[in-house]
Amino acid sequence: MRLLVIEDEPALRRVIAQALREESYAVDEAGDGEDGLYKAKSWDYDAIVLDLMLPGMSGWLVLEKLRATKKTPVLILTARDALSDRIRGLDDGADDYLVKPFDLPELFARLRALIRRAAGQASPTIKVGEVEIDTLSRTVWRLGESIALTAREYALVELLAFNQGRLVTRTQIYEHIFDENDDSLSNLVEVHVSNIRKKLGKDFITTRRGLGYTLE
Amino acid sequence: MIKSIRGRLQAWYALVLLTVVGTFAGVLFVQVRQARFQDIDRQLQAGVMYLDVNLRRFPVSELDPSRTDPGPPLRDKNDGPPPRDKHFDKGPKNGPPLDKRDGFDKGGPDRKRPDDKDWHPGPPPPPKGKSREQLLAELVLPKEIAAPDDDEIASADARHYFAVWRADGTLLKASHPPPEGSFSERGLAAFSDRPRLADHGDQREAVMIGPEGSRILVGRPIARELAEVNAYAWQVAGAGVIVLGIGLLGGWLISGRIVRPIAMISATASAISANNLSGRIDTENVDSELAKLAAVLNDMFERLQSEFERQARFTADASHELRTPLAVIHSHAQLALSRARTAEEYRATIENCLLASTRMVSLVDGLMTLARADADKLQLSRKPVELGQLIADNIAMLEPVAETKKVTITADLAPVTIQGDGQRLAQVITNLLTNAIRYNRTTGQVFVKLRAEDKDAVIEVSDTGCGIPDENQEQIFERFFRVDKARNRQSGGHGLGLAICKSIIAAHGGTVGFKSRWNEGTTFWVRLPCN
Repeated sequence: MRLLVIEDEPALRRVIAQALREESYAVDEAGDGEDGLYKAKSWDYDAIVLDLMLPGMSGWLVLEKLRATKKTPVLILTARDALSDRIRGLDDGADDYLVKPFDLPELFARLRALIRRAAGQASPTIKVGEVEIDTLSRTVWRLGESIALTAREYALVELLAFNQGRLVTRTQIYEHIFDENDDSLSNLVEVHVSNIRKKLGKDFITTRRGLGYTLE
Repeated sequence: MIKSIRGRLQAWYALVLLTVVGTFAGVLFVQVRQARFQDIDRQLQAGVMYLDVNLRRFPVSELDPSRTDPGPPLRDKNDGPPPRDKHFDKGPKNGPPLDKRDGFDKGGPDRKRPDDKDWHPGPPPPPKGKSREQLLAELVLPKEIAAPDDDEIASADARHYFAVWRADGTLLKASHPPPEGSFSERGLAAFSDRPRLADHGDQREAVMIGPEGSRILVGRPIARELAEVNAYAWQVAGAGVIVLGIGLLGGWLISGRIVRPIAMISATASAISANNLSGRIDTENVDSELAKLAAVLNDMFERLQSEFERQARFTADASHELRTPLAVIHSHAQLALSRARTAEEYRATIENCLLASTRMVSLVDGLMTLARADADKLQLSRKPVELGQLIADNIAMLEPVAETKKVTITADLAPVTIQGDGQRLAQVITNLLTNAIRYNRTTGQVFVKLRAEDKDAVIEVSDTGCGIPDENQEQIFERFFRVDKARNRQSGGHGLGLAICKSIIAAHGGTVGFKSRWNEGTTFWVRLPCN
């Protein structure tokens, strides 16, 4: 899953990004409103963490302009704790509101919930045939047996599972499991898919030639 | 005491109205009553005078209605009108003639008379050759008085009566029916030698001292007149009450009209609270006297609102500035503890936490300084401070910072000593110099000048930076205001520096200002009194 963090305080932006990466997210960073809006419009992020008090373009404006074209889930992360701000934030199109200082586990949980809901999944556990994916503990089970996956492999499985039954294009895969700093090679996806098939069964992922992949 | 303006207005108005209506009604009533009783009184007086004059025709002491022996005949006879005996119960019709010698000459007809103008029944002719009984019989009220018009003869309530007593209190003669009550009941004091009017119950009476201490009384019932006057009084009172009622109602409505704008103003004012300061009094619909008040209040609301907004902005800013480093520390610590880390990673975390906490310390210090300055408790320890040295020390301290940006600092410092708090003043200088370096272009220049001018020390710090945009020039001393938030954040400022400078300078009794040109640079000047 790929996230965007728009936060002007560099120290905070770095720590959030690092924490999210350790949670196996692909994370892009933006230090001001303009950059943030540009990135948010250019890619299909799974969720955006947005600060409100940004230099130049404020978080409010970023949200307003983003909502004109995109439905990306937005979590506002701000020091503004007034009730009126929280109401305004949610009414203006944000999906969640978290006040600084915050707890990292809470931020993770809220982001997981946002991503899950955006994918139309109510439960944190997704079942695909004989494979079970627990998005909370980020583990995959097959016939009651825990399967060890790498972070990238897991991210790919999760992406496909969230879009179960739908075609996931290669571009989508690149957009969602790699961040802007990844030097991704086109065949890397093939490698991951082949590794996943080895671990979870040959028929787990169906290839649509020239289009992408899908979980039946 | 009535506290409401409307109530007090109404009370005063009611008082005035009551006085006016009461006085008017009272005067009217007295006038009408006087007019009503004037004729009655005149007739009563005339009756008394008539009887008085008649009494003078014979010695009163010799007239005794109970005496049977006829007195000596009178010398002169009179052809006066026969007595109207229907009013008489005493005395035979043809009594012996009354001797004129006793008394008549004593108080002759030239004795004092009442006001003659009103006195229409003329003096009777001198009794000549009449008996005492005749005279006594003739002692009656004249027809004009007894029954001035025939209608009233019939009505008993208009009938006159009279009585004459001798000095010893015995009744000499009385009408039929006689007056109610005795002579003594009325009291001697009631009588004087001039006709005096008095009310006796439902009767009006005129009394007078006649010849030889006799007492004359003429009266008539005035129940009808009293009833008329009373009815009239009730009418006047009723009309007065109605007028008063209408007046008070009108007054209440008018005072309501006057008070309504005040109520409106107070309603608007009370609707304005800390949460909703946007309301304003509508000055269009208010009278000019109140419009001024409304304008003053509106002005106050305006200032309150802007002050509240400024305060709210300050609180939000302060909260943001404090929460951000707090969030950094919190997140770093949580992240570091989430799994086992290398010593290197822990070290980086601690460094980040330290940086954030340093920023918080400086922010809290700044906020404390401002809070103290706001409360006038900056506690300056004033000592002689050589500003030239102070500035030179500061420049030396900041040279390394300037060098990283390749900024050169040029100083032109005259020795000026002022009374002030060296530490606080150093804070000001550091701040101005730091700004001049921070907002300078690379390889730019900073000029620092110090001179004495009119007992003031004037410091000027100029830079060759980008300048302050015109639209931001007013806000530059505001707390947490930053022209470019991003750049400032990265360079470590918290947006309180100039606000603190201004407070410290103000506490020293000085002033601070700046001139700025976009893309050319900014010059801050500080003027401090030397003592």
